[in-house]
Amino acid sequence: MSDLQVLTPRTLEEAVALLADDGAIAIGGGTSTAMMLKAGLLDVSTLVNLGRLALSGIAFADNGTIAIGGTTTIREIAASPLFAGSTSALTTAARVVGNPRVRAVATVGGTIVHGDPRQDVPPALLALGGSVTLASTRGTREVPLSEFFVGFMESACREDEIVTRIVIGQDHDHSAYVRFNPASEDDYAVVAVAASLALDATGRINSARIALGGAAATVILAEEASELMLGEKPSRDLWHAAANTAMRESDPTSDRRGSVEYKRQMVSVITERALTKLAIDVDNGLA
Amino acid sequence: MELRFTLNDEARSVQIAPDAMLLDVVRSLGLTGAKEGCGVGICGLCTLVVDDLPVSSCIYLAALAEGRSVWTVEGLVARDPSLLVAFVEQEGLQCGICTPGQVVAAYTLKREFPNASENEVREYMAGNLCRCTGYASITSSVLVYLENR
Amino acid sequence: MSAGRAGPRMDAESKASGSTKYVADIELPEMVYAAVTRSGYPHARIQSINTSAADEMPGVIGTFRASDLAVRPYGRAVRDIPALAESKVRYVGEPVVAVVASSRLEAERAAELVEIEYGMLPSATTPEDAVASGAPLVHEAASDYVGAVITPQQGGNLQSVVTVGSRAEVDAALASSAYVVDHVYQTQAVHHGYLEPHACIASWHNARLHIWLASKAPHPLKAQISASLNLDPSEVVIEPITLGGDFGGKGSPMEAPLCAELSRLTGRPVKMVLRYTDDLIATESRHPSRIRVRMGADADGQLTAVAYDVLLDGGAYGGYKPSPHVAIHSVTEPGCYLIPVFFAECRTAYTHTVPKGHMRAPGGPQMVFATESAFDELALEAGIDPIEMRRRNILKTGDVDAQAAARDPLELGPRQWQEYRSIETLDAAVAAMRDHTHEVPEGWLFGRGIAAYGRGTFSYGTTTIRLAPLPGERLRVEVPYVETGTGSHNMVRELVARALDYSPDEVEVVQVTTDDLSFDAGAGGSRITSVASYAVDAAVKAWRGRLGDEAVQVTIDETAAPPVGSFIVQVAEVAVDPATGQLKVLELISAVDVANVVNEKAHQMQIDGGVVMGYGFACLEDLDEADGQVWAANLGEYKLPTARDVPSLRTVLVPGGRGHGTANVKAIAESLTPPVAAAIANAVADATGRRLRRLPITSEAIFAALAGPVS
Repeated sequence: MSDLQVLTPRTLEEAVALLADDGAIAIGGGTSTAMMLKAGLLDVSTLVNLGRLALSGIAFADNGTIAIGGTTTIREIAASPLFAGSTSALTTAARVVGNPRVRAVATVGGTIVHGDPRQDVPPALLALGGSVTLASTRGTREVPLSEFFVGFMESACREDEIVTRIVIGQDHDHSAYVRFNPASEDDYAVVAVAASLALDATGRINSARIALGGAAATVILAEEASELMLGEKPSRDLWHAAANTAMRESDPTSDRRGSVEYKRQMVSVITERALTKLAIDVDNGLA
Repeated sequence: MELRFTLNDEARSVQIAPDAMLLDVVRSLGLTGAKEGCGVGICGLCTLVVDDLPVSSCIYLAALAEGRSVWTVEGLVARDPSLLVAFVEQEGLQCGICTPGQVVAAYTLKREFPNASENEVREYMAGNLCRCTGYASITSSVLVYLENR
Repeated sequence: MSAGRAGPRMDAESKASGSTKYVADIELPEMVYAAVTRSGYPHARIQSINTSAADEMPGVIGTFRASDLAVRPYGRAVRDIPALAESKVRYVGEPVVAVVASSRLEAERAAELVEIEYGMLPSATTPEDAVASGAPLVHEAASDYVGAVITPQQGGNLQSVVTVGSRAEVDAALASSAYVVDHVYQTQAVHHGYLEPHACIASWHNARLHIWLASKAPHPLKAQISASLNLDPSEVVIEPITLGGDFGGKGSPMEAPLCAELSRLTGRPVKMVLRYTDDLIATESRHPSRIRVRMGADADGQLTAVAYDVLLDGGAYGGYKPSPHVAIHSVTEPGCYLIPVFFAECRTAYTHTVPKGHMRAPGGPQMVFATESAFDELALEAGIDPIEMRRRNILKTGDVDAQAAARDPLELGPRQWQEYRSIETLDAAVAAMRDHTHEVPEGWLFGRGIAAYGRGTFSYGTTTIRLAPLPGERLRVEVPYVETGTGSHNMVRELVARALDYSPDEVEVVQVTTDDLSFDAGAGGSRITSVASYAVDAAVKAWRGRLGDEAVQVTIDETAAPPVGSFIVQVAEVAVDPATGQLKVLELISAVDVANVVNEKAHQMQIDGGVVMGYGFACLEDLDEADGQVWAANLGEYKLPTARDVPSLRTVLVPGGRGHGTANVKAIAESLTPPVAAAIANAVADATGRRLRRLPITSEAIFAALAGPVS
């Protein structure tokens, strides 16, 4: 592997030009890539280091949305005051990722491209809604978050594209992230649920998204469960119905953390808890 | 390829393989405090500081340290002697294999959360495994370090 | 000189500042590196090996197979371990080919390119499969190995069978008992979880073999290596090292015979450091167990009889066990009760899985889980409170332990305990119980469970110690054993300093090579504390009796060690979420019977570390062996307890006990791990009315049990 090159472009233009090469991949924190290199699982010639592209940062963007630069670290997201309030699910999720070392180095762009259904940040992003901006030699394009997580370890980002930013939508008032780690905290969750919600002037739900982590080949939106809540007033019965629907939409695989049947049951329990976490907050005017 | 970086406050320039991990580069320079444990970034034995942030150096490509400031346990205990005093006084160790990583993590913890409670200390330090001590002596070492001026 | 004021641990500064060198940190001139190609199959014939691609890789110096090595099978008791697999492989992970190269990465990359053709063979990957008639044999002639205890008649896939007492007597006693329980308990494969991977350097110098090995037993190692390499022991030198955690997993020759041969064949010092995955999948784990317990009591709750039928998974090789019976001790021990009639049969099976060896209190956690769980189940049957039932049955000071003959290999015949502070310790545990119900989250179920464990303090085996004067009125103490992390060297410093009126910083303690001091049996069985104290006693006496200013050296073979032990009672308080089965251990209290504690901090860490290891065994850890393979192959999957996972721990020391030597010490290192799982299982049963008889206790298991009937 000493024919491998590590290149550090200084401009986005340079970076996408390098990535256009077959055998070139982008790295943010590079930890997933490092692990694959050590395991001999990677057959690439060039690593394009995005670390010096000034693509990190979190700021308010148009219409009160929040833009997160692609190389922003999970640590920066966890510490950012901009996610207090309605987008706090993201803060919750970012704070529980791995350990301080992982959070210091892992980028949000790298995280969503990695495509592991067990990660914490993707379901939070999916529930908050928004879009991903991808850059390449062909220009830039936007992909809604709802279309970004395509399959197991697979995202909509092509090998020659870079995640330059993620814009978080603002069509919700409340959000929550709950993960179920019954044994070690220092582990992926058995299942995890992120939820966001908005109420109209009459107190009815006019926007709802439930995202599931660790419950399918990729992070998914429980669309039926989310739709079921539209037009309704928040209630325990509604949460319960949505939770059961979410359970039916899940498709977990069996592993050390749980059997298929157990994980499905936990989708129901944890979805209800995530929704309840919203309702409690609604009652107190918090969230 | 050439790697230029600052190591324990000293400017260095070394030849590295492009796929070398920072842990192996630092150890090849004689700084063997950082160890390889699990090799997948979980156990914390390889913890180093890069630009004031804790990293798992066993899965940190050395090339990414270009132009950055790297600190190892050897440099940190010289830079901040109260760090060593805390661990020695509280005897926060047994076999010692995880100790350099614990010490480095304590250092970055103090910089990020100088007023951490015991629970916050345990939460932060949970990323550094120990099989010998049962953690109480390590937690008290960190708490004493936080108190020290 | 101020007498024996306890100072900072002598190795603390060096370890905390990163200057302590472990084997992997040692560099020798001209050193080269070894890596191995491992079997991907549990049982297969090696049909062909093709190293041509590997040979051409950059940096490669040579590739080697079993036929290139002049090494006999080795082991601690039974010698059945080959350095490289010869005609067949017996477990996934078994080393088959070794590659030597100028760097570790080059050796590993080349090892991946070795092509091995295998002929698949049927395998027996569970002990039940292995002992069934007609099972494929792991070893064609296990009884032929040097040190084998199994006979050709016993045959099949057995490493050992140990039987104590009479099954017929127990059957009769149980038949006439008022209450009987009969249950099977099962425990999983777990790993020592030391954080320093195995590491070895072998170097020939002036016709002598020098070995740096991450091992806790230098003298037995010297004997085992010389035997396996057909060398005179005087040709082998074991160099002193610092060990990064052992817990029983670093007591065998490990990679040393292979590295020694590679060094001889290449003419260079050879270093081999394992990747952690290799440690998890291919070193030696704790024996998984299936333990059937039959336990009877009379109408007053007095035990009438106990019978154990134990089947252990010994893995593909038995050589990792040091016991002359190739067994693990605790599984034939009756525990801490007065038992009128006792029977135990323990079969250890060869299977096509990773070899099993000794791990902190070998057999203890398995056995105590089964015994203390069964005891509670019996108490429930009899309608007697579990604490009260223990009071009625527990061994006490002066009791004759009629089952002492079962304790192997250290004592024979009935033993009358000069001291057995069971009641005192039980009282202390009960007195320490506090109300934790306020910590129970809403809707969760609260439960409390107790478990008891008694363990003898052993001072077996030979050891040597040397005291030499140093300039400036300082003293040097030389010992033959490794500092495994427990603080044993520091303890010796304390004892010598106190006895001879030095300040601790005027005394240095070093491990010397095997050339410099004669035999010591190595760390293990928690013997170092007590045997070292006897050695210090003898050395101090000799020092005081010196004529001039010379050094003194003493060897002790026997100690007049009194039959005393230490007693532990643990209480677990738990909360269970019925909605998910999640188990939160709110607190673990350990009441510990102690005599004199030489270093309080080190002693407390042995307690905490032991409890946490027990907690991991009970709730978190599982190598996940299936289809003859370890699936939890890295620390992302094999969950060692973190600082956040650890429940609140409380220790209650019960001082005033009788220990060994003038230092009056009791062993501690292995005493805290065994009772934890049962304390937790008993608490879960208390909380939920459901009995879990399989480890680890997972949320899914509790969830499933709650969906079923009360048990």
